[in-house]
Amino acid sequence: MITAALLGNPNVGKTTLFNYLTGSNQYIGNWPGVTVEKKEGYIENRVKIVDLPGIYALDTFSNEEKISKEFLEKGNVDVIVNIVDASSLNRNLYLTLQLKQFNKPIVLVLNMMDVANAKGIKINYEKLATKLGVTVIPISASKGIGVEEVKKLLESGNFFSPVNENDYHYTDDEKENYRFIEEVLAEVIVKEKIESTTIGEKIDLIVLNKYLAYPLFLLILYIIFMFTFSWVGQPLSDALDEYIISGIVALLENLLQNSSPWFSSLIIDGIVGGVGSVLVFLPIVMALFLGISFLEDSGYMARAAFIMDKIMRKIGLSGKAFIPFIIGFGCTVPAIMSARTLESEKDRKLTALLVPLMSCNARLPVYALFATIFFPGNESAITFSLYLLGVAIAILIGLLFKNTIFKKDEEPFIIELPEYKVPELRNLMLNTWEKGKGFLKKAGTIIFAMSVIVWFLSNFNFNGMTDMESSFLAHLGGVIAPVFKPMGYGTWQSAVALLTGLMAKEVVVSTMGVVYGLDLHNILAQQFTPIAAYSFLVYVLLYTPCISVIAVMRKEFGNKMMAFSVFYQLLLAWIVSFIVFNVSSLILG
Amino acid sequence: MEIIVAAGIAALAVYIFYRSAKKKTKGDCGCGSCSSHCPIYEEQKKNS
Repeated sequence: MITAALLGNPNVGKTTLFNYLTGSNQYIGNWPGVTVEKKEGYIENRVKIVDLPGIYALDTFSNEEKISKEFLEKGNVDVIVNIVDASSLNRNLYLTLQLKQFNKPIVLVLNMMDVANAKGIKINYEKLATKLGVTVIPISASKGIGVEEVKKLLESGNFFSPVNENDYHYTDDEKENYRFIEEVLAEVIVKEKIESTTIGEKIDLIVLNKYLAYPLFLLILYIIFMFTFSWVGQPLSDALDEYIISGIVALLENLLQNSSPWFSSLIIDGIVGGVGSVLVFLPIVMALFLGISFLEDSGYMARAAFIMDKIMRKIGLSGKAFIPFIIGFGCTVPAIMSARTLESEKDRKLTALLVPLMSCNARLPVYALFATIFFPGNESAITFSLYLLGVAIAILIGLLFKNTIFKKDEEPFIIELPEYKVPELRNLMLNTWEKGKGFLKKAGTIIFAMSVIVWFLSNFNFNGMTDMESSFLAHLGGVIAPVFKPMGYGTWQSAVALLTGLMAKEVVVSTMGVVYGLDLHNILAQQFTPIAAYSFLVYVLLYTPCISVIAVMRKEFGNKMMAFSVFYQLLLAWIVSFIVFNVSSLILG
Repeated sequence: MEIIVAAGIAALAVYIFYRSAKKKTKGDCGCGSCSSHCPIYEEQKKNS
């Protein structure tokens, strides 16, 4: 089997090409740092493609470069597929020259030809191939143009074309290498038109403006929340609840009319009440991630990292840690894992402690449920405020840790701002569907299991079947409930919902769906005041996300860090929730 | 009959709970809602 190493600068379309070649559905982002470990895929069991992390060169010591260099040295590579941004060849070819030292055939894939053409850049491919001693293939990976040619070449195994003789141009002198690149490009590139300012640069003048950057960032996020709650997600969620879940309940009630009341209750209150109460939020989860995927694909997310760098450095982190933070809005587990790419151990630990404060999407159904009941018409603002609160608390805790247990110097951060582009529908749909699929899988497994277990625990005690107030669950909740009393939600039901939420945050909703039954909305409205409801949401935002996060902390950093993170998150959630409840009660009465 | 069905549902729920809890406590990237990011880490797990 032929082994091909796919390599290039960050954000030049490696993963897009990888997906086309191998038929994979790997995550693609229009921002650097998406590929943090190597990934393997196959072309019909004849070619193994290894997608390596994006790197600028091979002479520094970042984790990504170590992974790539080690694979090129020890991975029995037959051919290097070096993908470059055709519109920025002068910078991209530095890595190409360095790759020559491995003495392997190189296929130079000129990606983003559409962008290069739009910029008026014309490249003489044959001349470029001769000058560099590589095989050159122009493509536009995002449009699938030219990809088949790459595939055919790899399948043929005939990489050494007459021009591909491995002439060795690389020297240790950086200036000499760049001079060589300039000489080559002067001969092979013709610029037909030179625009003084591109559209992207014009947009950057606004979105990166020192006064406008932060308000615009907040405005864009707010629009995404409006899209999620007011325009698309919530109306679809309401329709799902009204027509499908209610329809299923009516059907089941009809089917089970001759069954025992306890059996009907197990099916309707336990399973449908539990799973259904979470499932209705599927459109909201998908709408939010459609919005976030749009931002990532458009190229704005890299700008967001750039403008957040100043804040990140203030809390003692390098701007590179922004990537785990963004992943943390999806799920905390991979976010903590992605902290591996950070060079300093202090950065990794501090990032892992702060990332759980980013609101993961499992918390979204809890926010949506409470916001719909207690803050109708203001769902977007309430949810938005919780996300911002998570970020604000992370900044404060970061400052606290930076000046106490993680004293360190600021480190510079270099990020390449990708071209703006109109996001591709296929990529958007793929990313959004992945999230939806994950949510459905969770509903059919752990949420179903927890709903059934919660139903049994809330209907039985040592004497057999009983009323809910005398059940195992009520006793267990009654022991924990006093802890939450100062925040206005000291009922056993809230306590067990928060406890079972440690399995997965959606289970907070499903547990409430089981213990309160199908009349969840009305009962919750009686159990909480709006201030207590918001205070409850603050607790959900800040307390330990789930046991997966506890386990990954242990795996990545050991028992001490795991224990510390759980303790500090529980304490932090209690303190902030307490402050929110009592200060709001004082102000609003 | 109802007792048998209920026992079956309970057994299935306990089995799913056991499997999920086992997977979660391993610290693997198994959360459904982050599936698009998980394959990135699975590779390293296989290699390590």
